[in-house]
Amino acid sequence: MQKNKTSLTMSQAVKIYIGSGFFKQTLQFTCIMTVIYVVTIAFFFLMICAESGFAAARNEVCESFMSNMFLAIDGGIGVALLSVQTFEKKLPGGKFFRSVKGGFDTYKKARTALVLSVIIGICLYIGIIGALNAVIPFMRYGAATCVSVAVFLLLGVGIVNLISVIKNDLARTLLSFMQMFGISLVGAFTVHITKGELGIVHITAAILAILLIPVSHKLMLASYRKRRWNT
Amino acid sequence: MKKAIEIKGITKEYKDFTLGEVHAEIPCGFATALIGANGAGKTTLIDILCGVTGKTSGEAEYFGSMTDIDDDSLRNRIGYCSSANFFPMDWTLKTIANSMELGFDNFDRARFAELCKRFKLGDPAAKKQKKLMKLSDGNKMRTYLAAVLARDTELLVLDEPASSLDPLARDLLCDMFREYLSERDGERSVLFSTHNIADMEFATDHAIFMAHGQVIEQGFVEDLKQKYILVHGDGMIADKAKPLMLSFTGNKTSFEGIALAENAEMLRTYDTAIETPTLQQLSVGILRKAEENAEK
Repeated sequence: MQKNKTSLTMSQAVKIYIGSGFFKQTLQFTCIMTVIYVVTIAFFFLMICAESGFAAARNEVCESFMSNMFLAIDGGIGVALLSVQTFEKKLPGGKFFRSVKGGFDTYKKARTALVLSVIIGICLYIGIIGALNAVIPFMRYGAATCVSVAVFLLLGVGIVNLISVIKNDLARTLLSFMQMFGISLVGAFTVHITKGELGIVHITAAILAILLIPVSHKLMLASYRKRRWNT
Repeated sequence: MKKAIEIKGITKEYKDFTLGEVHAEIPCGFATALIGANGAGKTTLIDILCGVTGKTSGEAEYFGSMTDIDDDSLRNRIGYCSSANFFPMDWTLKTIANSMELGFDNFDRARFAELCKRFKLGDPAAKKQKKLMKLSDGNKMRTYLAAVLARDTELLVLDEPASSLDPLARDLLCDMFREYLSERDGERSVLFSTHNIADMEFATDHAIFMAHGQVIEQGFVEDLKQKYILVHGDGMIADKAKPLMLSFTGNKTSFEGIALAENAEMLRTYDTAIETPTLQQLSVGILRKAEENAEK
């Protein structure tokens, strides 16, 4: 059993595990998601614009569901990154991480920091896109969609943690994919169904996310320590 | 004699493999080779000793008094390096230095730069750097060794350090072992695993032989060379000599194998030639005997 409570900060623990600190990691995560979204929307807009003209492009990308859908999908892919950053012993670096000072305590700090980094990254990503939408409207029900997608992405963080507890590799991979394209899309769809109104579904999802993230994180850490840390 | 590690009945049970019980001693101040065929349990034992893999039962005592490998003060005294993919493949020398500096209290960045230069790996402070995935297997291992040797440790535990190195690099590795041991005479120790001892023979003072998860022989190389003899002779007398030998290979014209030195007199009466075996010959003989026993 690990006895050490290392003096390492979460940022230092992250740096041991991924080579860059907490803030750089969060900033990179936010920038990548934002750039992917902007490039995707710009690509589709320009493609339709070149084929059918500005009005058609505006209608297809902005008035329809496309820009909202990509907001959710890009965010979902970002959340899914958490499920691949597991630092298994058999993967490159796995044995090194198990030999550093603090052992599992350092892993716990690094993993917690990564979850926080994703949560902050999601909020920043949605915030930046929301701000962009306020200046140049390109999403239908923009503000409501941003809030809803953010809430469901955060719920996705909790679900990713829960999925990682599953022993069966195939089931874990399948569920991770479903989460990646499923949960956040629900966030975008519900706003479409309610015609921009935030309601009980979103409040419930928000409460669930707040409860699920810490609980699932603890469950994930306990399961990882027992089954995959040094077996 | 001071012991760097005393292994007391360590076991590890997997679905398809069981290690141990392992009882062995790693003497302080010497280089110990853990010799065995692939799948003998060398990596599992090393991983357990370094806290990378948990054990099922047993205990290891480090430096005479410490038993908890999860204790940071003990981890800081041990420099561990696995055989492959020790670091993530997208890391560079700079990333490794950044991570090692935080991961261990005794990592010396200047020493790392010096070792990288010596191993012809480049400058860890340079702006443009190659990722590990773009390096050859030999250079990857050189990088791992530079990282682990840049720490001020008392025990080096290296899993198959020589397997991906070219002959010159193996020679350099032997020199590094000698330097490491002589820097603090008698206080530092090296434990490394290998399935091919030939290139590391001159860097080995003490040997532990493993087969099928068990330690089958151990001791100082000089003592083992007195305990065993290399026997060869004409094929005509093979049938007489064979019962006295531990391992035996031969055909109609000649035979060769390892026997206990206590049988030397008897074997000489059969007109056999007796020599002192090399560590490589000893390894082949001892491991072959273990295989034969396992088949029975």
